[in-house]
Amino acid sequence: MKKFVVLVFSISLIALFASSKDVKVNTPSNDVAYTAPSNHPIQPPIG
Amino acid sequence: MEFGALIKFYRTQRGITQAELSKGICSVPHLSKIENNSKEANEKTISLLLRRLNIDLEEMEEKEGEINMLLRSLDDKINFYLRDEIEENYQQLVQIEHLIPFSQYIYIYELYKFRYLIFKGHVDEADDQRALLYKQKKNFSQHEDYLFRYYHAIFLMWKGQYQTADDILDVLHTENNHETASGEFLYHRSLVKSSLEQSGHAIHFGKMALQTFMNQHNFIRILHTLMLLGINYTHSNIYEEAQECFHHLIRNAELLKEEKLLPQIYHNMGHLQFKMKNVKEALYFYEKSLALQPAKNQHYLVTLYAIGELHHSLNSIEKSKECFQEVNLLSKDLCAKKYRLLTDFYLLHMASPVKAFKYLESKVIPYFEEANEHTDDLTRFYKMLADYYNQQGMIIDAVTYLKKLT
Repeated sequence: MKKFVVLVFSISLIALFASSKDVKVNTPSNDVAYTAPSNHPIQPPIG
Repeated sequence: MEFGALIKFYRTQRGITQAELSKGICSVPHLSKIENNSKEANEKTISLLLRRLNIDLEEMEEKEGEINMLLRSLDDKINFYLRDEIEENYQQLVQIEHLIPFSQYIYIYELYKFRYLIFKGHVDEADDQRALLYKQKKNFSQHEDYLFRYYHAIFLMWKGQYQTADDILDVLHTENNHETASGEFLYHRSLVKSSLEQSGHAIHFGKMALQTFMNQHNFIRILHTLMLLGINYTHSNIYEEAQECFHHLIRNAELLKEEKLLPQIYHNMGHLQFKMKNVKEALYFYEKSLALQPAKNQHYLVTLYAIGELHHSLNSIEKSKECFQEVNLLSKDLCAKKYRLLTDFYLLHMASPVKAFKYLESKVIPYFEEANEHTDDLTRFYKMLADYYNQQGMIIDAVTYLKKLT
């Protein structure tokens, strides 16, 4: 019984490590709105 | 009449040495003294030298006064920004152009011609005129030398070389020449500082220019200066003053029949509203500006691009796409590389962010770094790339761009 518990625990630990490698919080680039426009004023004539 | 200067001008222009010209007439040191007006030559010597240069002096004395009057008038009209009258005045000068080299105004005329060509935006012709004047540079009086350097700075502003223009104007100012107190000089100082996004300086010189123009009742330049102040108050986040400038401009541009300025004023008002985070108002003014612009020119391009970015920031992707596509096409016709690159980036970003960021790194950023202007754009792009690489887990690349930010 004790061996079985250790085995299950080991398997779950390995599964946790394996799955954590794939977990990545990544914001899709399409959702990123760049809200600092580079529009510029129009300067008056040089003349 | 300035015979010495006249002989020197033609001799230099035609690439004749003093020895060649004086041969059989007088000695080289004698000619040198005549040319520098340090010796009064006798009539016979002068007449022989002029004949060798194929110069006819008839009518000269009668016309000299007229030339002087027309040149002063041209200078005044440029300073008062009277576009139609400038053309008429210049054409009158062209009619007696063949006589001008015989007067004492040869250099002043060539310098004012340089100024006229710059005013008209004839950049290539102005460049030829600059080269011609450069050859004569060592013959200039102090005033003529000042004019040459000042006009050269204005020419560089037309070519977008603001930093070099600023350096020249700065040197002229520190030489403490009384001419640098003129409204035009102060206006150009303010304009170059504004283009370099040095708002504090632009406001300082703009206020001085405004005072001078008000004393002269130079109404059109008052409008231009108010525009400069409005732009720079906006840039410095002094919004109340900026709004006041633009409201004043909208009221008076129509009164003074300066309708051409109105779309530019509305554009700048839109820019101010955007900075104040009044997005709806910003869009309203930008669209008003766009509707008033008949030709698809550079200003139309800038306004349409601003609308595109505004929609993009509001996540109205389809609307921004339409704007950017039109800007992209127009930028190719107008050879506006900056806007072509920017819209290429945004359009790519809508289709494939990965390709867009590669494009940003390989094309857009090098262009902006080389142009050495609009540092706020560069800062934004560095930040975009740092964020992007951070999201991709490419920490070293992210840090590279974060370092550039500091």
